[in-house]
Amino acid sequence: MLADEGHDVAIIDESRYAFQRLGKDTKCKTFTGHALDEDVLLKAGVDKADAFVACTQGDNTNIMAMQVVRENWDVPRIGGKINDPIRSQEYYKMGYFTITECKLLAGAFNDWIHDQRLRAITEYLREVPTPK
Amino acid sequence: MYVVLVGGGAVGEQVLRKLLHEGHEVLLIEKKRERAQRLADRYGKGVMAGDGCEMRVMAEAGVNRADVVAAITGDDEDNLVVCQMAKRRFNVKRTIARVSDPRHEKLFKSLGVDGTISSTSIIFNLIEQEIETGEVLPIGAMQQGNLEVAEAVLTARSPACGKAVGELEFPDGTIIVAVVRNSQHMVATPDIMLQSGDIVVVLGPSFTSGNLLSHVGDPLGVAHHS
Repeated sequence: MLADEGHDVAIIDESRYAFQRLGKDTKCKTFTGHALDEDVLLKAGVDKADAFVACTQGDNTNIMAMQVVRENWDVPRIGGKINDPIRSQEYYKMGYFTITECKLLAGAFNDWIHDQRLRAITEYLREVPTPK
Repeated sequence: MYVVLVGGGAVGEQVLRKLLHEGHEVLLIEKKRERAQRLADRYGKGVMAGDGCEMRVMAEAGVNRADVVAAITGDDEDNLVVCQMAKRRFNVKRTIARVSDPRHEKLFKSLGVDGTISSTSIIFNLIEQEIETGEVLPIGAMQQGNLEVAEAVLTARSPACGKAVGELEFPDGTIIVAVVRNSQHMVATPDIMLQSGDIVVVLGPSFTSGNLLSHVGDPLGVAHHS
């Protein structure tokens, strides 16, 4: 989406095969390596990035990757996918833009079931019951 | 003293055993059910099955009254999150993380983890003390950092010079694999006399025995508090 809009996008994945999904004509730059490896992040140009998004399958990998980036470089926007709602809320409080898939889905389906209009995603995301 | 351990691999089991032996109240949280069951068969109530990164599990484990939380899984990112959540959600005073990638030690400290244990660093320190070389170079890690290979170059000052390979005292499970002399490598048989300029190649597990713990002192620092 960002690449189509003309932005420079670099993607890091451990597996080269993951990049096949981008298609042959992709404008994205791809880098094979681990998201927590500072050398790989640098190769991908994280030091010059305007935004960094961590969206691997692992909550904790994303949490750590966001912090690695914040500790080492001055990236203005740092976000990540954190599926566990409690961890998501905690790191949101620390200034990371975190998105929890299940909160979005549950909220959207809930509204649909009640014949309600779908809301802005931030409304779904931040409706987190405070756990004990 | 109440200690919560997260991660019941070889390292977790050894630490659990040592702390129980010292009479501390300990709870080890292990994610894999079968592994947790096996540990519970051996150590009883001191073992709980669950994902130690989850708040529900942490709450159930009574992390809020823990004096120390030690995250010792093989995954650095899990260990970091356990320590941060223990601090932020449960106000745990002292958190300790095992670090497989030594490059993460500094990062963890600046992110609020009170103590880090890098098996790689510990092994290198021990080897350095024993051989006292100019440098000890990590060559590689295997088994998620549970096993490491390092080489050390002997200098004239090294106490190991003039000793036979068999005379060197290393922690259990740490072995000298080869000695390289004048670019020729030799299998490290106990009778080889070491001399200046030799390169000693060492293979070692991170924490195969409590023996290693006793070499470096108690990494949890609990012995001083009890």
